[in-house]
Amino acid sequence: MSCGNPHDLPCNDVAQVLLLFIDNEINALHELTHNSDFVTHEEIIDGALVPVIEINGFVFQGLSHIPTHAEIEIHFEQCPPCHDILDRESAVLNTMKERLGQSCREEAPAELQALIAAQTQALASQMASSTTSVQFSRTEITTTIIDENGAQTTIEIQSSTEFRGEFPSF
Amino acid sequence: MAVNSLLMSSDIATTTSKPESAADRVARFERDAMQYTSQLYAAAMRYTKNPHDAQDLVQDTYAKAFTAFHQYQDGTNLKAWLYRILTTTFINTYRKDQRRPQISGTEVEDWQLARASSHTSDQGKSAEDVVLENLPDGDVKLAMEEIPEEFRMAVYYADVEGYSYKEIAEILGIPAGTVMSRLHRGRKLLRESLADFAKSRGMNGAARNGTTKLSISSPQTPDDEQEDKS
Repeated sequence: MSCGNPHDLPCNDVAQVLLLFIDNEINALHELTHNSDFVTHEEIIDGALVPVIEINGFVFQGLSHIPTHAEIEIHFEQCPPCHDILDRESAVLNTMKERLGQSCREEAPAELQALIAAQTQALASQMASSTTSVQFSRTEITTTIIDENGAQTTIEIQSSTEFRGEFPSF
Repeated sequence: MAVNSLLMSSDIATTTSKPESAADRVARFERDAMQYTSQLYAAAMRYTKNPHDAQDLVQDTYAKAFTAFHQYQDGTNLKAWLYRILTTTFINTYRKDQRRPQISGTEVEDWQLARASSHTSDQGKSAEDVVLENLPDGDVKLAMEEIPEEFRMAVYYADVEGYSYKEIAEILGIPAGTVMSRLHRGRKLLRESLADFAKSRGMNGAARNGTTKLSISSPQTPDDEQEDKS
C-alpha cells in the first residue's frame, strides 16, 4: 500500500502504530520491547508469511520492528494521505476528549463528602482505641562492685521494651 | 553545616519515630486525599452507572484508603493510588457475581487491518467531528455507558484523566499491552456508540453539508459500507 511517493517506512507500519503515535506512547512502547511479554514471530495470512509483533495479546500485523517516533514523523512529512489520516484522527480524538471531559465530570454530592468525613473520624477513633501500648519486658539490674582498694563502682542496667499494637491494616 | 545538621536530626527523627497517631493520619488524609472526592465520584459513576452505587463505591474506597494510608508513599501519585483502590473495590464488591466479558485479541486485529486499508480518504475536517461537537452531553454520557466496562474505564482514564498507558496499567492492574487493546477497542466502540446516538437524533453531518456521509471509524471497512446502505 502506497500513495505513490517513495517512503522509508511503509504506510502499513505507520497505520499500525498511528494511535500510539497520537497518544505520544511510541517511546514507552520501545521500552516495552525489552519486556519478556514482547514477542515477534511470523504468521501465514492469506497465503503470505507476515511478521507479527505481539505484546500481551496486542498484535501489530505486518510489522517486523516498531518504528521510532522520529521515523514516523518523517513518514507523515513524506506522505500526504497518511498525514490527512493523522490530522483527521487527531481532530476526532481531541473532540472526543473534550466532549467526554464536559459530560463525565460530576461533582461529588455534599452528603457524600460529609459521610466520608464522618467515616474517617469513626475509623480514626477505632484506630486510636485499638492501638494499645503493652509493656511486656522490663529489666533492672543494679550491681555494686567494691575493689581491693575499697573503691565502689555501681553499674545500673535498665531495659524496658514497649509493644504497640498496630491499627488493623488494609 | 546547618543543612547537614537539619538532615541528620530529621534522619534520627524518622528512625525513632512512633507510628503515626490517629489524629495525625486524619489530618494528613483530609489534607491530601479529600480533594479528589469529585474525581473519584465521576470515575465511580462510570463504573456503576448510577449515583447511589457510585456514592457507596467512593465511600468504601475512602474507608480502605484511610485504613491503608500508611502504605501510601509520600510523593507518589495519590490520585492514581486512590483510583487503584477504587478499581479493586469495584471488582471485589460490585462485580463479584458478574461474568466478566471475554475480550478477544482478534477484535483489535480486525480494527487494525481496517485501519491499515483506510488510506484512500481525503476528507478534511470530518463530518464525524462536526457531529461529535453538537451531541448533547447526556448522549455522550450514555454512549460511554453502552460500551463494556473494561473498555470504558480504559477510555476514561486515558481520555478524561489523561493518564499514560503505563499509569493506566497500574491503576487497572493489567499489562500495558492489554491497556492498548482495551483503549483502542474502547475508543472504536465509543465512536460507534456516539454515531448511533447521532443517527437516532437525525444528526447526519453529511446530509446537512452534502459532502460526506458520517464516517464512523475508517471509510473502507465492510461495516461502514453496510451502514451507508441502511
